[in-house]
Amino acid sequence: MRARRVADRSFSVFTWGMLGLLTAYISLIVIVLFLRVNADSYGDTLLSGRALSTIRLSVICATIASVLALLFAVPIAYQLARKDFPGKNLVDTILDVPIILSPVALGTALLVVLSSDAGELVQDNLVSFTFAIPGIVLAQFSVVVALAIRSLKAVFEQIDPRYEEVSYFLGCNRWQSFLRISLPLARGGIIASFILAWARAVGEFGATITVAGAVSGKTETIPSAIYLGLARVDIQETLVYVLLLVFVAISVLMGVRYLTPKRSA
Amino acid sequence: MIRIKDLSADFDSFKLDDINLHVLEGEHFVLLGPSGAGKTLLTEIILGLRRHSKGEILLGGQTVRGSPVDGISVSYVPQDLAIFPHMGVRDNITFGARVRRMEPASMGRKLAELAELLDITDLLDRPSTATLSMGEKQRVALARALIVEPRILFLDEPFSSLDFYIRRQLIEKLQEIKSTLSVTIFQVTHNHEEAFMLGDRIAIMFEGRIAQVGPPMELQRRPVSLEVARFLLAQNIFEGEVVEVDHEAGRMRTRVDGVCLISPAVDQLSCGQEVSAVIRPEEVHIIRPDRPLGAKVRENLFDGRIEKRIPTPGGYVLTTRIEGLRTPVEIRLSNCAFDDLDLTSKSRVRVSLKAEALWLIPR
Amino acid sequence: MGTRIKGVVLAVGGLVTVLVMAACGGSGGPTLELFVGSATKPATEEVAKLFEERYDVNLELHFGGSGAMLSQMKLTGRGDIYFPGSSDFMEKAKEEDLVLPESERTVVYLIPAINVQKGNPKNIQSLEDLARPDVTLAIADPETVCVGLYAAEILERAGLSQSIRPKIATYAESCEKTASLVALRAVDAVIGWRVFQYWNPDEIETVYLPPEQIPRIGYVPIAISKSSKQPALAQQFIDFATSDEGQAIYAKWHYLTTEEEAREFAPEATVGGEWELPEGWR
Repeated sequence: MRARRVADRSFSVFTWGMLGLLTAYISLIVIVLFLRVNADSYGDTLLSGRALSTIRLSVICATIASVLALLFAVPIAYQLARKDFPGKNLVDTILDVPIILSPVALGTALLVVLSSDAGELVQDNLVSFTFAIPGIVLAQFSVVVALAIRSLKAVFEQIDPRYEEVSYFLGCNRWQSFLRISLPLARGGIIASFILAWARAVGEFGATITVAGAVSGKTETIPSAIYLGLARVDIQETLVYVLLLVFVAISVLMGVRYLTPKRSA
Repeated sequence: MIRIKDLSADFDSFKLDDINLHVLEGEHFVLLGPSGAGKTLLTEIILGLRRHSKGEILLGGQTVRGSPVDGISVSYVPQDLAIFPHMGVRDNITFGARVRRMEPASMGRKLAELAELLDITDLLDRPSTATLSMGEKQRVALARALIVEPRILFLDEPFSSLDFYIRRQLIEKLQEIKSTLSVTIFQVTHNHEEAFMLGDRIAIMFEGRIAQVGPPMELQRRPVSLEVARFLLAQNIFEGEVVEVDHEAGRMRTRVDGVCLISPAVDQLSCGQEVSAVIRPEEVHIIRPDRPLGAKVRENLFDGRIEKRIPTPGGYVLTTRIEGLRTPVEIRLSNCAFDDLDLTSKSRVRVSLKAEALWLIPR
Repeated sequence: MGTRIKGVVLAVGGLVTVLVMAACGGSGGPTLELFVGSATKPATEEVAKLFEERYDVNLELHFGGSGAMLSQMKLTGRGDIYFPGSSDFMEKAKEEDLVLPESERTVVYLIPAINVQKGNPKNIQSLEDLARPDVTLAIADPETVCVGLYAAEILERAGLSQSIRPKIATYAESCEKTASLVALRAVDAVIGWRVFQYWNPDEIETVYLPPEQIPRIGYVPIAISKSSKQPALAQQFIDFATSDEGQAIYAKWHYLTTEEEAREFAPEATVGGEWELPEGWR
C-alpha cells in the first residue's frame, strides 16, 4: 500500500519536474536576453524605419507563405489520408524530402534551379524570385508545406470516413462532402497546422537567405536581421531582434489560441 | 430492387463467398447473423463503399462497382449513426434536403412530418447533438435518412445499442414509418427479435456466406441446416434415422434412440436416411391430464419428468427427460400455463412433440 | 524490478563516461582556440594541422563569417586567436578591445577582381561590361563584408556607381556567399577577391582589373585575443603562420604572401586602411 503511494508520488514528481524544468529553461533564456539588452538599445533599434519594415516584411511573407502552404497541404493531406494508391509510399517519401533537407540545402537547391535556363525563363516572364521578396515567400513556402502536409494528414486520418460516406448518400458530390463535412470537422487541426506553418515560416532563415539574400530594406526578415547583427558585431541590435522574434511568436500563438473555440468533435 | 449475383470479395481478414440475394421493391429485407459474419462488409460492398472482386451487384437497376451509384436515391444509416458533430439537430436532419436544394417550404413540411412521426419535435432546436441520448440520436439519424425520400434505406444494426424498452418503441416507430412511406429497407442486425418483428424476408449469414433466405415463419419452421436451427434457437435437436415413409398418410417415422418420431412426409427424404430431427421448445406441449387430447397433439406422445426449471420473463424453460430419448427436451411455457398445470420441478408429465412442427434435416 | 534498475544505471553510467571522455578528448597537450574567418579556410586548416603535429598542440578552429566569429568571441569571452578574413574586422576587434593590438601581423594579401562563371559565357572583360543590360551582378554587403566595401569603393572611383549600383541584384552576406553566387550561377559576375577562383576552379574564373581601377589592396590580419590564457603559445602559432613554411602553404593555395607580389597587380594602391561608405550605398 505504502509502496504504491510512493511510486505514484514519484511519478508525479517526475512529470511535474520535467514540465517545470523545460518551462524554466525556456523562460530563463528569454529573461536573461531581456536583461542583457540596454534600455536605450530598444529605442534605437525598434524605432528605426528599418525595424518596422523588417517586421512588416517578415509577417506578411510568413502569412502569404503559410496560406499558400495550407492551400496545397489541405487537399494533398486529405488525399493521402483517404486514398490508397500504387506508389503511395514513394510519393509520401518525396513529399517528406523538404523536411529532411536542412533549410540551407533546400535554399541552395532552389537557387540552382532558379538560376538554370528553365528557371531564368520563369523569372523573366513570370515572377522574379532570386534576391527578391517573392523569393522569401518561395523559400518559406518550400520549407513549410511539407510540415503542413504531415500535420494535416494526421488530422484527416482522425476523422471517421463514415461521415463523408453518409454525406454521399445524402446527395453530396465529393466537393460538397469535402467542403461541408470534412473541412468543418478538421477545423481545429487546420488552424493548428496553420499556426505551426506560420511559426516555422517566421523563423525561417537558411533557405530564405540563400534564395532571397538578406539585403537591408529589401529582403531582410527578422531572422536575417539577427544574422546580420551578428555579422556586424552589433550584439545589442541582434538581441533586440531576437526578443522581437520571441514577442511576435508569443503574440501570434496566444492570439490564435484564444480565438480558437474549444470544440468537442 | 437489389440484385446480387455470385458475389465474392476478399479482404485481408475477411472473405465473402458466393453471395446471391434478391431484394424486392418495397420489401423489408433483414440480413441476420452473428457478429463477425460479414454483414456490415456486405452492406458496404452493396453501397459501393468497398470494392468486390467477383460477381455482380445491381442497385435499383444500376451496376455497383466500388463507388456509390448515382441516379437512385439511397440512404444509409451506419451502425455508429455518423450524426454530424459540427451541426445541430435541425441542420443534421435537413442536411440532405439542403444539399439537394429541396424547396424550403416542402423541406419544412417534411421535417415537421418526420419529427412528428419520430417524436423528436422538441429536439429540433438543440444546437448540439452531443447531449442526445442513444435513442434520440437513432431517431435523428432516421429522420436525416428519410427526409430525402429515398427509394432504398440501408440500416446497419439500427437498434443494437438501445436498451430493451427503447428498442421496442423504435421498432414500432419503424413499422409505422414503413406504412406511411414506400421505401425498400435493407436492414442488418444480429438481434432475432428485430429481424422477426420487422423482416418480410430474412437472410441468415454465417462467416461470409448466406445460409438461408426466406420469410420468418419458414426459417423458424424449416431451417435448412443445423447451424441455422441452432442460431434461431430451435433447441431440440435429435439424431436419428428415417425408418418409414407413408406418402398416402403423408407421414414419416424417424427412429431416434429408443422412440419413433412422426413428422409430415417430405419427398426429399427416403428410408434409411440419417437425419437430425428439430423441434422448437415452443412447439412441445405438456398435456393437461384433465382435458381431452386435441387433434394436433395426438402423435408423438411421451412420458417424462421435469428435470430443471429456468425462469424467463413471463414464463419458464423446462428441461424434461423423456423416456426413450437420450437428449433432454426443452419446453417453453408461459407463467399461467405453468400455474394451470400445477407443475413443480420433478413433476411427471405427458408431452407431445407436435408432429406438424417436427422438421427433419439430412445429416 | 531490481535488474531493470541496474540496467538503467549501467546504461546511464556508460553514457556519462563516454561523454566525459569525449569532452576531455585529444592528446594530453595544451589547446588553442582560434576564431577564423572563412576566407582562408583551406589553407589555414592545412597550416593548423602541421602546427598540431609539429608542436603537439591541440588546435580548435572555429570557421565562419568574420563578424559572426567576432561576436562569438565577444559573447563568450574566450578564444586565443582572432584571424578574420579582412582588415576591417580587425579594426573593429581593436576598437572593441578584444585583441592585443601589438600582436597583429599580416598573413596574406588580397586583390579585388571580377569573378565570373567558368568559361566566362557572357564574355565580361572589364568593369564597364558589368553595366551591360544582359549581365547580372552582385557584390558583398558593403556594410558588413570587407570585399563588399572594396567593391563599392572600386565602383565609386571608376565613376561607374551611378550606372552599376542599380543593377546590383543582391548584397551577399559573407565572403563565401559572394563566391558561391557565381558558382551556383545565380549571377553572371561578382566583384570579389581574385583568390575566389582557386576556391572553386571548376566553377569560378577571375577577370583581373587594370591596376588603375584598384584603389586598395586587402590583407588578412591575425592577432592574439585579449582573453587568451596562453599568449605565448598563441604567439607561437602566429609566428608559424607567418614563417616561410607557413607562408609556403598559403602560397600553394594561391594567396599572395608578400606586399611586392600584391603590388604587381596594383602598384599605386593603398594597403588596407579605411574608406567611408557614401550615403547612397546604405
